[in-house]
Amino acid sequence: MTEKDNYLAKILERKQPSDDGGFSEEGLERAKALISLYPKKRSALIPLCHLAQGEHGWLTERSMEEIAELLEISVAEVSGTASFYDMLHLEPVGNYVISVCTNIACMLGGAYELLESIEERLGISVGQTTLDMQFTLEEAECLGACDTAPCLQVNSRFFGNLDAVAFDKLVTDLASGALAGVVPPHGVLSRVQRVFSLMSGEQGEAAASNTDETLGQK
Amino acid sequence: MTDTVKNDSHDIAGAEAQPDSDTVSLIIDGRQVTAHKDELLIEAAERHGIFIPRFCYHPHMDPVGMCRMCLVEVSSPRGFSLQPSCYLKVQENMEVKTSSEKAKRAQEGVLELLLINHPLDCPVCDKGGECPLQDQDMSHGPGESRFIEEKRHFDKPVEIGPLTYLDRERCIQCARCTRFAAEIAGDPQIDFAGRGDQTIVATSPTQPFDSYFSGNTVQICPVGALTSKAYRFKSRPWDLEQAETTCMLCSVGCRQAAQSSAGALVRYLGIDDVNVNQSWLCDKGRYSFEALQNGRILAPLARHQGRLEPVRWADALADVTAGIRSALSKGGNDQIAVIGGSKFVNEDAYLWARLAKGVLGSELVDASMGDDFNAELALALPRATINETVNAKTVVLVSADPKEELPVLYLRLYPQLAKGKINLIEITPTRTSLSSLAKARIDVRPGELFSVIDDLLDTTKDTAGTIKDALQLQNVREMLTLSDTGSQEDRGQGVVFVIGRSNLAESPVYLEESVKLIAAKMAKAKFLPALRRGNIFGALDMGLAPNLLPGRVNKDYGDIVRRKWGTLPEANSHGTTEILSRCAKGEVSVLILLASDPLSDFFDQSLVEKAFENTPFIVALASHEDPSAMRADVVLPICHLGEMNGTVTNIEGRVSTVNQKVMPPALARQPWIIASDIARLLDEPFGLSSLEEISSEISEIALAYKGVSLSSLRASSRRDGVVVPLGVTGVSIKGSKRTTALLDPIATPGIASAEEQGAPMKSGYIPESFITAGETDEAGRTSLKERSLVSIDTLTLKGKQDMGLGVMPEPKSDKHTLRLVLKRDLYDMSTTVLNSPTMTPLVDEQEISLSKADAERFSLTEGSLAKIAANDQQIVAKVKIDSLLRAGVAVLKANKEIVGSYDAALTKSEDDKATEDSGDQITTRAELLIDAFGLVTEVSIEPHDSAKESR
Ligand code: SF4
Ligand code: SF4
Ligand code: FES
Ligand code: FES
Repeated sequence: MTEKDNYLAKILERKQPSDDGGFSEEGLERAKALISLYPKKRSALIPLCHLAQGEHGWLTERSMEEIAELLEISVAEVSGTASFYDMLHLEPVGNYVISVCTNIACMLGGAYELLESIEERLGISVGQTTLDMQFTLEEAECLGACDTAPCLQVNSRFFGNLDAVAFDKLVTDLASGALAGVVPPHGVLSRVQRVFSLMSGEQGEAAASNTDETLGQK
Repeated sequence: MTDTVKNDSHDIAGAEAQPDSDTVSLIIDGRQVTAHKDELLIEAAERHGIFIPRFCYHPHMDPVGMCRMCLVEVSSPRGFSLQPSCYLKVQENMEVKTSSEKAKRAQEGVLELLLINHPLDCPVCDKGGECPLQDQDMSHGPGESRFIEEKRHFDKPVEIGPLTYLDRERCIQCARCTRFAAEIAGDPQIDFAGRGDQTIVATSPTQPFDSYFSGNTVQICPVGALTSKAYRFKSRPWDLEQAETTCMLCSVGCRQAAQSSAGALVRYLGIDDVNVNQSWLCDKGRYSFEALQNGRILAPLARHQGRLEPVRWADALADVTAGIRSALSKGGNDQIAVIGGSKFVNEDAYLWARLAKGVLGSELVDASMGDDFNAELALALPRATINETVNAKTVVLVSADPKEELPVLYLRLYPQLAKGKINLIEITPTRTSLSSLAKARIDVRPGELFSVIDDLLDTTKDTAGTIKDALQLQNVREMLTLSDTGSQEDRGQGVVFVIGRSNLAESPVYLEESVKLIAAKMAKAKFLPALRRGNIFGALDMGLAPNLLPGRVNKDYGDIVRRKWGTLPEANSHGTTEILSRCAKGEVSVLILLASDPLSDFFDQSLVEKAFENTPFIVALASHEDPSAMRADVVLPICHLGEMNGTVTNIEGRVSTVNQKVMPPALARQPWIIASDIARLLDEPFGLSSLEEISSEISEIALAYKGVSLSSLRASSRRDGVVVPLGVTGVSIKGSKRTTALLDPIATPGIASAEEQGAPMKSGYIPESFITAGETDEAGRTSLKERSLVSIDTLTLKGKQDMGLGVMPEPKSDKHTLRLVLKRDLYDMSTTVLNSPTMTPLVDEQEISLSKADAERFSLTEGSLAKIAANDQQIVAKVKIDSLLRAGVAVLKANKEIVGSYDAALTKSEDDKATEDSGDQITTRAELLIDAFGLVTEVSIEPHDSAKESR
């Protein structure tokens, strides 16, 4: 098997999740709860996309169909809307999506040098996923953490003041699972979950603690 | 006031009545003008001859203000400001400058921006030469671009649907296509995706753009972004010639421009007839031009030693006449039978009716194929126009799904329903494409229709069919104007019943009796008879039906006709089902098929097969090599739409013209010539030598067609046809503010451009006022009844008691039978579809829809094969579980013989057959199961494989 075949096979494997790619039962419950928050069903589109991404790491075709059914809109509207946002992935991604900021403060702080070393370390360039489906690398605009420039996000969790050495350690830790409690699987957003907890009548306190660590680790 | 709405030819409904409250006056480019208060600025300007450039605005869609091409200067409290004129309603005292320096600079800016990313594709682009972007850049653009950077690029073209390509970099994001798909067609399969300069029109990854109406997006795309597979790279606009004509594929009768290049038809475009299709076409109609090129019969054929061989016309006609003479010599009016004629123009149908009834004296003549309902009843009902239907208070659907059978009628209904402007009540055996928008629906099992309608109309009953809830029933009755408080005479006011056969496996008697009951109980209700085939209404009006004579009269009023024709058959005549059963018994000597194909288009295949076997002499007039023509003894080649002239009558009784654009292939002739030749050879010549002469004979003796002839319809003011009888059906579009854009070349780009290059007829429409003004014949304006047309009173109104239909026979006791619903879908195995290469792949395979409960009962799963048996026949079909289907009902599709993915399974059974030497052929053809004389068809079902094992 050539490297490329291997890569495609992996991609394909992720493209065909073990289930049909739709919502889990729990996910469906959450989706319905989210929809009921809005006077118009259609308004729940973005939250549902995040929810679906949380289940598979990316927006599977089946989940977009399910969202369309739930919201009574067309699948084209779901995929069209999702395609507007960089943070919603319509293709399979690695377990860790690394978004490196190259906006001005980070750039001045050495973002491009960092990016280059990351590419070297992971053996891929921006927009690609490692063959083991562990890491996807992408460029991002200002992440709002300029004080820690150059910075990046892994699955939307921040890491700042990085250089090649620090990144190497980060990758090793991610790969070894040492950061499992800090960085949830790709797609998990605490916010969606918090809203759901509020919905189900729990107190804000409980909801706030009910974030990544508990719900993110399925 | 220099220029008033009142004097304008485009009268706006209501404007005359209350000029003060409904009109406003404003100043456009220094001219004082008046407009309707709901009018958009761009429309008002256009009506007064001032053209404002536009891309996204379309006269038949709601404005979005997407492209900003229509920016003009408009007065506001803070002085003049730039505003999109397509998104702004006129206001009293508004002052507008459409071509001031500032407005011009704005328009130039918009065009320069649009062209930044637009590729220089014009030389290879289908739209080049008829492109609004080209044209308006010439008329309103800056003339030069300052952009020197790289333009955007996409892979091209992408196939977004089975019939449509998209070149994404040509798109200017006007949203015409996406709005059409969502708002007009109700098939929102395309939407915008991406953002910024990467914005594209896209489908979802899983759902292609396979709407039945996709071709309309190609037609209205103001650039060449959307192109059709059938036309792409076929021609250049300046090579096109066009003729204005009427589609004859279904009875909606959409107005269309037939465009040809180098002598071949290459495209149909929808013409903006406000009364009928409002510039839209369905894909089947649009792409049917391909059928002209394929599978044609080029010369007369006659059977010699079992084989059909080309012969000279004279020999073929001699054969036919000899056959007819020997049949006539046997005596009686039932030796010669004539089936078909709904694909003929009125003139052809008339002359064939005259030949069949007046010369041959036959009482076996029918244009419908046994799957319609009583023709006299259809013609006698107070008819609604299409506009009346889509503007009614309540529409009741007691017919097949209009999306499958009368596509553009669906297209007219959908937006009105989506906007909540009409109440829809459905009384059908299966859900339709409009069900989700219906206010109420009653699921009728086959055989239940009459009792359901009876209960519904009887206000003392507290349930009606599946409506068991008293409150809901009361609501439904209110929508039907049946509440106890309302007056009896006004019942049915504002209610239109769309009536037709929703189930070919059920006797028409249920529908017929129900309709009579409705007509009797709801005096003011109107009807739109949903007979489906092309010019079926023309054929019926011309007398190609049992008991009917030209002019919508029946035999009882036949004096005028008898005077002209000499003889008429005396006895009551018979419809296709009876005709075929007589053929099957060997009682008929000559069967003449008028462009009809009973072997694929009749709902009881066993009967047709017997009829063909037992009729000694079969003559087929056919344009294509269809199965029936290939079984005939003499085949006479005829013209197809596009190759002939004449008039046609649509579902609402609108007569419009059909015009020839290309030459018929080789020796094909128009059917009236054949009728006329046969009459001459029988020594009873008609003395009519042209279409015009036939047409004036029709307007002379056909009561409903008084004053309507080919020549009068060719006058430019009548190009969109007239509803017959003239002066009876006043058409008014309630609350419509739309007038059509005579100035708007952007609305349907291809037509205006072909017109400028010397095409024979201009496209356009006639204002409503033309029809409402009323035409009077010699007798003055008379009503439908006074003209002694077929009257519903003469058709016996039977009650439930006489019919004995209220109570249906119980299903067979083994509990393994279901009642069959046989319905059609748009792409069946009709001659047109099979001969249009881009459409053929769209025919899908046979499947049997079952409710969940029934599927479980018969241990069938989704996608498995089932064996379905009835009337000693059996077929195989793939199982589809329909969770919304009522239990006890099975649904099959008509005219589906393609084996497709059945192949494997079927081949296996064929092997078995060879070894086990067991009898029957395996097929998917549902028509085999039906007994044409049965009330309902009950089928028994079992899994296909287990059936095999048990053998
Ligand atoms: S494809 Fe054509 S109709 Fe659709 S948005 Fe683009 S330019 Fe407009
Ligand atoms: S709706 Fe009927 S008349 Fe109109 S284009 Fe389609 S087939 Fe032709
Ligand atoms: S510039 Fe990198 S976080 Fe703001
Ligand atoms: S914004 Fe008015 S025509 Fe597009």
